[in-house]
Amino acid sequence: MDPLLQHWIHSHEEDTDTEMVFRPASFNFPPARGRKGFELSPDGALIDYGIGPADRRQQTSGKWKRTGDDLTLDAGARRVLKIVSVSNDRLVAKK
Amino acid sequence: MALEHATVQRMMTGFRARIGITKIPVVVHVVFNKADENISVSQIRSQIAVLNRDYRATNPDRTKVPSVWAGLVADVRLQFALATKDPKGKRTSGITRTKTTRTSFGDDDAVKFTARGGMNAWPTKKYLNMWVCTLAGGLLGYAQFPGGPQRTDGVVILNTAFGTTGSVKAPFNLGRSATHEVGHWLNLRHIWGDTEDCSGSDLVADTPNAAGPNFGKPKFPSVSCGNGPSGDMFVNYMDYVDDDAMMMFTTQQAVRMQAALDGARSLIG
Repeated sequence: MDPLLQHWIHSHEEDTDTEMVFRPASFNFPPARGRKGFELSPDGALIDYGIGPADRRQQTSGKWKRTGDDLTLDAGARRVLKIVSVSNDRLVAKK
Repeated sequence: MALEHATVQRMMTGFRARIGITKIPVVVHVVFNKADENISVSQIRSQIAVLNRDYRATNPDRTKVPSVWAGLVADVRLQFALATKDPKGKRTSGITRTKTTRTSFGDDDAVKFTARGGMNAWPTKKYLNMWVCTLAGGLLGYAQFPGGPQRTDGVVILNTAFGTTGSVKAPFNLGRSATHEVGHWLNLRHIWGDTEDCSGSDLVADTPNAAGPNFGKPKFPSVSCGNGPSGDMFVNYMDYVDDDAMMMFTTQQAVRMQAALDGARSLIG
């Protein structure tokens, strides 16, 4: 199965100056004031998890697609992540 | 919306209604499954002490604010104290303790209801309710803005991020999670304006526009949204940095909080 098809959560502690690191939702994350994430389904459905204005998780539905290294997430506000690498337990994208 | 209108009026005119110090009675609801989640009185008192420093700008680390913002450090003029009278007028420690069968809570307000394994709020017009529990997924806390449903009004804080002693764990061991959440409870927004880009606003003029949250312990300056040379005000309590990296509210944030106290929260204090 395509390792990209998961619920990814931003592991901002592992970011570098140029790259963002995401881990599967099952990862043992340390405490944080909030984390962004997204869940990719095989049918192109996207659930975008944002940080709410009072720190609750905020869920928005949308669509995703991958073209080469470009991962387009479209849940109201459209954004493109440039994938550097993806495996079962780690997704790295350019900042 | 009436509160936003009144807040903008104040910011434009420099109007200041409340004078002196507003005293906020606090009830802390400790909801625990395991014994070590039943935090001590000294841990609770250490949190109240942090709030009293941060909301009076007497926190010693305020001297670390970059000089470009030093003139904006604001005394919000709030004093917090554990409640001495319960809703029936009886003497109280201001602390409730509830054993629950739940091993953790989410951000769905269950901890605020006895019937859902938590503890019911004390009348939220008269008390600041703070629930302290284990939160799933490493969440440090969440809050409710003024004007929301009464029964869920207040803040929820992870037990290992509450106060400065006992079960607290670095880097969230200086009580700033509660400082941040009480800021929301008093109508403050995140300094990046809660959008993925530069379009959002925190409705406060003296915090620079910022793209998104800062994490960890940023190095000055952290530039986004063309806000150089000074960049994001990551030292602000309403950013997402570690406890020892945040140390100020601004003058306009204080105006916003005072407007909330004269509006939706006028019965408290």
